[in-house]
Amino acid sequence: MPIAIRAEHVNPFILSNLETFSKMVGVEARPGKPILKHDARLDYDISGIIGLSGKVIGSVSLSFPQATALAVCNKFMSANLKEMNGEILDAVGELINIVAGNAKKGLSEFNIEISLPSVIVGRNHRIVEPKGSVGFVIPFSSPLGDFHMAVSLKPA
Amino acid sequence: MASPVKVEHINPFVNATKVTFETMVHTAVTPGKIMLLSGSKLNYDISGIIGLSGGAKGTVAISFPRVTALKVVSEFIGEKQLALDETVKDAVGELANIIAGAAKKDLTQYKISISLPTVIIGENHKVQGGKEVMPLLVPFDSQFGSFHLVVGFTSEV
Repeated sequence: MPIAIRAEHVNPFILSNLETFSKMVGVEARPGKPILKHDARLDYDISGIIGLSGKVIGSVSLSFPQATALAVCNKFMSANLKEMNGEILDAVGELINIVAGNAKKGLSEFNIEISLPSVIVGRNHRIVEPKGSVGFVIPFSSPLGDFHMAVSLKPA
Repeated sequence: MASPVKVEHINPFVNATKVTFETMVHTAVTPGKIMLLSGSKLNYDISGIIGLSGGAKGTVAISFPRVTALKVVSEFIGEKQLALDETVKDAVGELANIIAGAAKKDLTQYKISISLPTVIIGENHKVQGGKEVMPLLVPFDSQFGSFHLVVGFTSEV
């Protein structure tokens, strides 16, 4: 039977993100209402992206404005960095790695494997959803600032 | 400290890029000197990124300045493109997809599957890798301008 991608398949990513922020960063993040990705026109300063493959293929990303990225990564690493350097990039890559790694456990029926992360830095960059996929953007708020998670999935 | 991507792992991606441009974009591309991504100060306007997983893990990004992307995509789809619109974004994602798919055939021992491509738009953005492996950057020259391929790959999963 062909796999249908439904909104509930995004839930493991949301749960994993909440748990990662709670346990690894030490702050409680709160998810907002998911928005369909093709409606979203969102600009970011830094994003961590990871590819997913298995019975579904997809990608998951975490995107931050600069100030939020610095605050989150400093808390995550117990550091006090003032600018976006290599350590911040590594930390964003590590966060998305943890989020994707935990989320795949909640989607065991899809046998998902995760790729290496890529990190994008640039003022006001945008992430475009892959053609033919179902994509959601989930806004999160936290005491360290707001950020977004984007999930795109498609039957393999 | 992470070690760099191995030469035997980068070559399939370099060859896949050459073949993809020859057959799909009808243009010869010349790879330049392979370098470590970290430390390079390179900015792009559009990138197609795809993840690799299975018996190895990786990530491949193909990144273009705006003008080069427009020329490459115009030739790729046989229609003149004037702006980084949906058509160009889809085409850049598709190029990343074709390159990763072609490279996979030379890395069959790792039983790789490829993810969905993601496309990044943004003036002067940079692409970096994670901590597990040091990605390599391969500069390419073509009649349409220069572009870069970034490959992170490790068989230690």
